[in-house]
Amino acid sequence: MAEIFTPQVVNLIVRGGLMIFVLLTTFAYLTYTERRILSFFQWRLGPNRVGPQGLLQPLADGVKTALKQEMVPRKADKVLYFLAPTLTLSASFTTFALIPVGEQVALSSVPVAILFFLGLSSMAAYGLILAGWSSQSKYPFLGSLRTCAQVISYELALGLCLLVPIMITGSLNINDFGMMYRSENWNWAYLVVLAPAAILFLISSLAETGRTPFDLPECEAEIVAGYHTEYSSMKYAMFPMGEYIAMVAMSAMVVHMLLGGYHMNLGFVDLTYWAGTWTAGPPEAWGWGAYGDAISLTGKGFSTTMTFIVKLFLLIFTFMWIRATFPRLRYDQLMRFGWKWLLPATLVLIFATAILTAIIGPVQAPAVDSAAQAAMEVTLNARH
Amino acid sequence: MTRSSDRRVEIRRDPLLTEKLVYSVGPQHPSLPSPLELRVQADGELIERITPEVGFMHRGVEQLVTQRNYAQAAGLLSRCEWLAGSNADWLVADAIERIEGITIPARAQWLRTLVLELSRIGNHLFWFGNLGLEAGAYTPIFISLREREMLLDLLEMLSGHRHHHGWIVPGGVRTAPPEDFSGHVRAFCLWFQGRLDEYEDFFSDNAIWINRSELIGTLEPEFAFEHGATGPVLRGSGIAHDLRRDQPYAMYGELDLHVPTGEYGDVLDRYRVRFVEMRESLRIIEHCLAYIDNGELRNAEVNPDFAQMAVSRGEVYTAVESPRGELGLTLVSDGTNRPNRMHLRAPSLYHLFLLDELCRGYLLADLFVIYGSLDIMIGEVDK
Repeated sequence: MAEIFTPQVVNLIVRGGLMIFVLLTTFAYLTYTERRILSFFQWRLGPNRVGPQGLLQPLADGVKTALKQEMVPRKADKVLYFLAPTLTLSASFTTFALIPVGEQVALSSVPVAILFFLGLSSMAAYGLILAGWSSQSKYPFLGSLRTCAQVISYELALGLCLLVPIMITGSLNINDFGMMYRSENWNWAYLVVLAPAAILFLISSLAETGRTPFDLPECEAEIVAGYHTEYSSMKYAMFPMGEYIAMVAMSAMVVHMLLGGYHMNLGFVDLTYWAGTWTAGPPEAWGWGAYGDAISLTGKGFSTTMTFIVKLFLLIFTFMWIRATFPRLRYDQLMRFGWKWLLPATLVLIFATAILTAIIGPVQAPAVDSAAQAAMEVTLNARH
Repeated sequence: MTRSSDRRVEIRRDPLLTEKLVYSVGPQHPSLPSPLELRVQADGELIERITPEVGFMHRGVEQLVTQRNYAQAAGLLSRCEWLAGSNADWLVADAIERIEGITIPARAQWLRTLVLELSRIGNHLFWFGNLGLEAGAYTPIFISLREREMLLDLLEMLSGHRHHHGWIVPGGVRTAPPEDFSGHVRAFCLWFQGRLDEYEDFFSDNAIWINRSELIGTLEPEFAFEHGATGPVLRGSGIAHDLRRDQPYAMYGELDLHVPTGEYGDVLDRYRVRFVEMRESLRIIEHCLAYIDNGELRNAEVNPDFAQMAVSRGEVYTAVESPRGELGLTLVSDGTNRPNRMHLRAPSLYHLFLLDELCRGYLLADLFVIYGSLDIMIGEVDK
C-alpha cells in the first residue's frame, strides 16, 4: 500500500481533488456573480435574499436542482442521453489538468498541452451534439445541428489563434506562453500579433462555449433551450457547469497568451511576487513529513495564483459584459462571420507572425523559477 | 399568381432533398408572452409556411359586454388592450358621444390626447424591451421597463390606476389632474428624451441588430394595404396612414403631426417608425401641457353616473390610432344602459395573419424577430 501512495501520487490526488473542489465552487459562484453583474447592468438588484448579499444563493440553487424530478423522454437513446452531460462536464474539468494557474500550481506539465486542450474542447462539443441527438425531439435536434456546425467552424479559428504564441515560443506547453513575457529575448513588438490573436481567440471561444452573442445552440427565443431542452435536474445542471468551466478555461488561455500568465510584469516594475514569499510552504512544521511537503503550495505558488485569479476575473467580467450588451447573431450570419472573416483574419495573423519571428527571432521561454523547480523535483524524486 | 414570398422560398431552398419538419411553437414557449400556437412548416431552418392557431386566451369579451353596463363594458374592453388601456376607454366614450351628440370641453379633449400619447409611449417601451428579448439581448427589457414604470406612475397620479385607467368617460374625463401634474410630466419628458438617445446608441446602431433586422420580414405596401395592416406596420411599408392625421379626433386636428414612414417594410423600418413615433409623442405631450390647467373637465349635461347611463338607439363605428394600429369599435345600442352589440376591430388580428407572408423564405431564427416587430397582443386577437 505504502508503495502506491508515494508522495508524488498523494500530491496529484490532493491537488486534483482540490482543483475539482475549487472548480465546482467557482462554477457555483460564477452563476451568482454573473446574475449580480448582469443585474447591475440592467438597473436591478439580482439575487440578494439568500444569505448576506445573496451569497448563499448558489447553495440554494444547487439543492433545488438536485431535488428536482428527473424526467427522461421515453424515446430517448438512453446510453447517449446519459453519456452526453457527463462527457461535456468531464472534458471541461480535464482541461484544467493542463492549465497552470500559478507557479508550481498545476496538475501536469504536458509538453503537448495545446493539442490536448484542443482535443478536450472538441470532446465537450460531442456532449452537446449527442445531447440534442439522443433526446429524440425537434428543438434539441435543431440545437444540436447548430452546435455541430458552429463548434466545428469556430474550432478552426480557435486552433489557428493558438498557433501565434506557439510560433513565437516554439513550444506547445501552455506554461511557456505566460513565461515568454519574462524571457531575456522577449520583444514587445510581438504584441502586434499577440494582442489581435488573443482577441480573436476570445471571440472564437465565445462561440465555442456558446455564450452571447453566439448562444445559438441554446437560444431560448426560437428553440426553447436548444440541446438541453429535454434534460432536467442534475443532468441539466451539468451543461451550464461544463459551459461555465469551459469559459473559465478559455479565459485562462487568454491570460496565458496575452496577459502574461500568472506573473505581473508591467515592463517597468515586476509585481510578480507582490504577496511575498511567506507562503513558502510548511516543510516539516505540520509534522506530516514528506506528505506535508507534497501537498503544500511550494515557493511563490500563492502569490502567483492570486495574480492569475485577478487576471482571470477581468476576462470573465468581459464575457459577462458582452452578454449584457449584445443581441444574438443569426445562424447563417454566425457561419459567414466564422468562415469569411474570422478564419482569414487568423490566417493573416499567422503569416504576420511568421514574418515577425523571422525578423526578431523566437522567444526562448525561461523555465519556471529554477530554484523552486529544483526544490520540488528533489522533494518528489527523493521520496519516490 | 405567385407571390414574392413564394419566390423567396424557391430561391433560398436548399437543393438537397431534405425532410420537412413541422414545429409546433407554443402555446407555451419562452418567446411568446401570451398563449398562441404557431405551426411552422420548415425545410431545415427555412420557413415555408406558418399557420397561427389562435383562441387560447378567448374570454368572450364581445359577448360578456352585452350583459354589462357601459362602464363595465369599457373596463372589459380595456382588458383586451392592457398595455394601452385608455384607447378602449376612449373608444367607448367616443361611440356614446357620437350617438348622443355630446360635446366635450376643450380641456378634457387636451387631457384625453395627453393620456393617449402617454399610453402610446408606454406600449412602445414594452414592445422595445420585448423585441430585444426576441433578438437575444437581455438588457433592453429591464431599462425600458424602468422608464415605463415612471410613466405608469404618472398615469396613476392622474387616474388612480396603473393599467386600466377608466379615466376617459363620456363627456370628458373623470378627475382633475393633481397639482403640479404638468411639472411631473415635463420632468419625465426631459428624462425620457435622454433615455431614447441612449437606446439608439446601444441598440439601434448595433451592427448585430441591424444585420438581424435589415431586409428581414419585408412587407410590400400593396400586400399590407390589401390585408388590413394599419399603424406602424403599414407605415413601415411606406404608406403614410395615420388616423390621428387623416381622421383627426380629440385634439389631434390642432396639432401639426409628422407621420414617419419606412422604405422597405422590413423589421428595421418598423422598428425605426416606432422610435420616431415615441419622439413625436413626446412632442405632442409637451404641446398638450399648455392647455390642461384651465377649463371644464366634463360636460355638465351628461349623466355623471357612467354605470347608470342609458344610450339611445343607434349604431356607430369609431376608431382610434392605438399604438398597434387602427383599433375600431362598432357599437349597437338599444336605448338601455347595456350595449346591444359591440365588436372590437383589433389591429393585432390582422397583423398576426400577415406573419405567414412575412416569414416565408426566412430562417427560423428570423421568426421571432419578425413576430416582435409586428407588436402583436394576444388579448386583442382572442378577445
